[in-house]
Amino acid sequence: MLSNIQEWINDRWPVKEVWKAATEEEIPGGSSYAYVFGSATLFLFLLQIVTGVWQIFYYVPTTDHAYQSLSYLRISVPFGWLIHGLHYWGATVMVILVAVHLSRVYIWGGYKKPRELTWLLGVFLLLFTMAMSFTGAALPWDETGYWASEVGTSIAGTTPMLGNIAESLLRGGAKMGQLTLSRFFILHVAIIPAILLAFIALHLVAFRKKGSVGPWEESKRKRSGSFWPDQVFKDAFFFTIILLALIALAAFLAPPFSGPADPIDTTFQPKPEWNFLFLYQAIKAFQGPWEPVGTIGIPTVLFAFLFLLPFFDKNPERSPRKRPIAMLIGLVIAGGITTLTISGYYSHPGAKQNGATVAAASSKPGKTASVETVVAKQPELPPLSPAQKAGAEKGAKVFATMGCTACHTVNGVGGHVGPDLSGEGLKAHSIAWLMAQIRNPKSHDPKTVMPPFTMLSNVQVGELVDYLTSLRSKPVPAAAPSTSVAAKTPQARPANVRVVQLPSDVGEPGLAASMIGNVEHGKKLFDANCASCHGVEGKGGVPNPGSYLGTVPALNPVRPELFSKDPAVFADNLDRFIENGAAPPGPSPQKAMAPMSMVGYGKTQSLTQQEISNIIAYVMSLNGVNRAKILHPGIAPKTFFFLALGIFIVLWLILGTLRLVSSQGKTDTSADSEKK
Amino acid sequence: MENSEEPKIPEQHDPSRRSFLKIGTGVIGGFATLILAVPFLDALLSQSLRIKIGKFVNAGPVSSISGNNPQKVFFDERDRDAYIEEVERRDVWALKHGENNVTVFSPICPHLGCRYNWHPERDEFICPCHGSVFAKDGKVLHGPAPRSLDTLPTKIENGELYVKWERFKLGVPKKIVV
Repeated sequence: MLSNIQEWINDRWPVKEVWKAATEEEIPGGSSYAYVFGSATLFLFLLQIVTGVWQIFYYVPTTDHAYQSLSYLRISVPFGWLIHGLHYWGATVMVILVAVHLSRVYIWGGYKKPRELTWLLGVFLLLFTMAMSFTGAALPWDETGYWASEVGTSIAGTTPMLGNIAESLLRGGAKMGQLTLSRFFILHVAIIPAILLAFIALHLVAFRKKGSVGPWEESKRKRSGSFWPDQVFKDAFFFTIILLALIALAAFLAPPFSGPADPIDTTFQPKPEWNFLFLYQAIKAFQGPWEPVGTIGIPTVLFAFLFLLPFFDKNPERSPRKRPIAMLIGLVIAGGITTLTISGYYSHPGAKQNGATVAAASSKPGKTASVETVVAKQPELPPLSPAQKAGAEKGAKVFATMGCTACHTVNGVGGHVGPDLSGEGLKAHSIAWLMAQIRNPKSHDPKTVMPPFTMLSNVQVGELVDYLTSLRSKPVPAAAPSTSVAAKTPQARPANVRVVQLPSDVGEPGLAASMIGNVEHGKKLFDANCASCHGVEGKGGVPNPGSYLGTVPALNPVRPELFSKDPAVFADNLDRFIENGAAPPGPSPQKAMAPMSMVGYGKTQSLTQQEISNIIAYVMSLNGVNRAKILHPGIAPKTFFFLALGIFIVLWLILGTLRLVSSQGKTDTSADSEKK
Repeated sequence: MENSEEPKIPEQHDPSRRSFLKIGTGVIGGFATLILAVPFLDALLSQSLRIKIGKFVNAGPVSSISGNNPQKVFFDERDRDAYIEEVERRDVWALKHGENNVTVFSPICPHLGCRYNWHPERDEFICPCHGSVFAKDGKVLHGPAPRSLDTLPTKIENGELYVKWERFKLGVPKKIVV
């Protein structure tokens, strides 16, 4: 029956011929583990197609959905971590396998006549693999991918002549945006894979036509083995190791969440994908007008070398020992790329400068001090106009409610982190100076811990300045008793009044609550924006004398009403505060000491939603909750790995035993035949 | 059921006719490709190369900018990303020389498009990506940047600063609007 069906199909479609062409091949010198890298690349490519297609079931290629749809796949879809992890690490291993395969062919002299075309097609495949790596990195629309693409397309734009067109064609416009993502998406999922498939087919046909190159020693070439099943078995065995390694990477080294792409971010230090690091590092050596030599020249020369290799190296000799120049060139290129990649991996231009920064800053004398002594000498001050007095009254409210009292004392009330401002009006700072001090304190003293109050409106800043210039009394000595009393008497509240606000009191969360931020990035942002009130690492302790609580709430540990083991709920609770701000309950605001309140960082756009998502991830990590926790793993990643490992070990053992038994049988029969 | 048993009547075996047919097929195929390829490529390219003309947008009062050091100024502008219309947050660096004289720098490093930062303790702008360093007036001090920081067109009316948002070609010595 089965053979009848076979016959019927074969009569109409040449199955047998195709199978024969695909599998029948004599390998000079027999099969070898040295030849497994090509087929491993092919297997991995097929795996990338499957994991890629599976991701598109969830992934949405739009700037506002890409990051979150991928996050959803990774944490909420059963085995989403596996699908994405295999694809992410598969891309990395793919580049390595292609490089090893290319090196192997190079050492064996496999590019020489008559296999030049096979080699050329292979070099194209390397080029398209790199293109896949570049376009794929942009698709999550996260910080890493966004900035790598920004820089990468800009590099393309510096190509002489065609640069402009190439860059605009890739981006779909002058800037990175939705059209860029659409283009990268279609390139990554349709156009380049189609080209890859076509070139793989061409590569394989050319390979089959001229056969394996085999060992270079004449003596070893006398033996012969067949591709099917000898070599294919070795290929399959090797690929199980690759597959296990990929599962291990996905399980133990999950791809990082670098945070959603934020085009106006200046704190992120972008670096390209590892396989482009050597170029990133090379750019630094070529500066000014020489830069295109690094960005365009080096890759062009590398690929020109690979393309032209079979045509200028026409010596039929294949033994590496007799090809010292070729081996030397290969070694220099491989060594150069490896060295640049490693040094690129460990280089942080921004971080280095920050280090230098700190040293330079500490050696300079404080600027503000000298400014203040100069201006303090001016004796005569103009009296306040009625308009200024009215502004000063409003400014007093702003001062009391926007967080100023936490650090500054006025007339004996307030914190002592910053200078006492009771006599600020006597210092005769100009209006512009005061405005700048409020808006951008670092412009006067780079080391200041005062946060920039960019969230205040211009009117509010004007009122604050009026208030500050109206303060003309002598500073009261530090440690004013009223402060400590206010700080130490949180129990002075009526019994029916809440000490703190609940998340639901402050308002709805923003978009940031649903985005998975990056912890390290969040730490930087927290230190710059939040630590001045919530304390270093959110440990709290900063006084808020007007509130019932007496201090700004600590975030490490966070209040139990805000905490949740469910990352989504926890993020939601935190974001309600960061988005809308909060005014902690305190004694009647008519009193001089209204509690300082938190500004709505999201509502006032003081921070972008992306930045807030990073801060949330950091605060959650301080409380032992992983924002990126996998909620529905299917099978827990580590368990899954050990399961796969167990299955493969059993499989290998069974196969090994069978092999041993069968070879035992063979030697027995041969011994028998010898006896006869 | 085909009339396979009937003798086939061969087409006229005229060599000149055959070569005409070959060339003709090629020409037809070529033109069919061309007539589609040009508009298809144009669809991808032309609108990508379109230059967006910016408008002057209010970036707040000049008085709120400090006189000593460059300061980041934010303002919102309605903008279109292809078919998506949205309010975009612009960030520019403003350096005030006087109440009627403000230099505004585009926040985009002219090297390869990263966002640089002001480092007050060094009196320099530094780009985190490839380490370009610029002086307060935007001149390149070290690093790979091919030109000074790009200034944006500004005007000051009634003490308010207006900025026209533009983008420039990156990585080249000349400042070209894109």
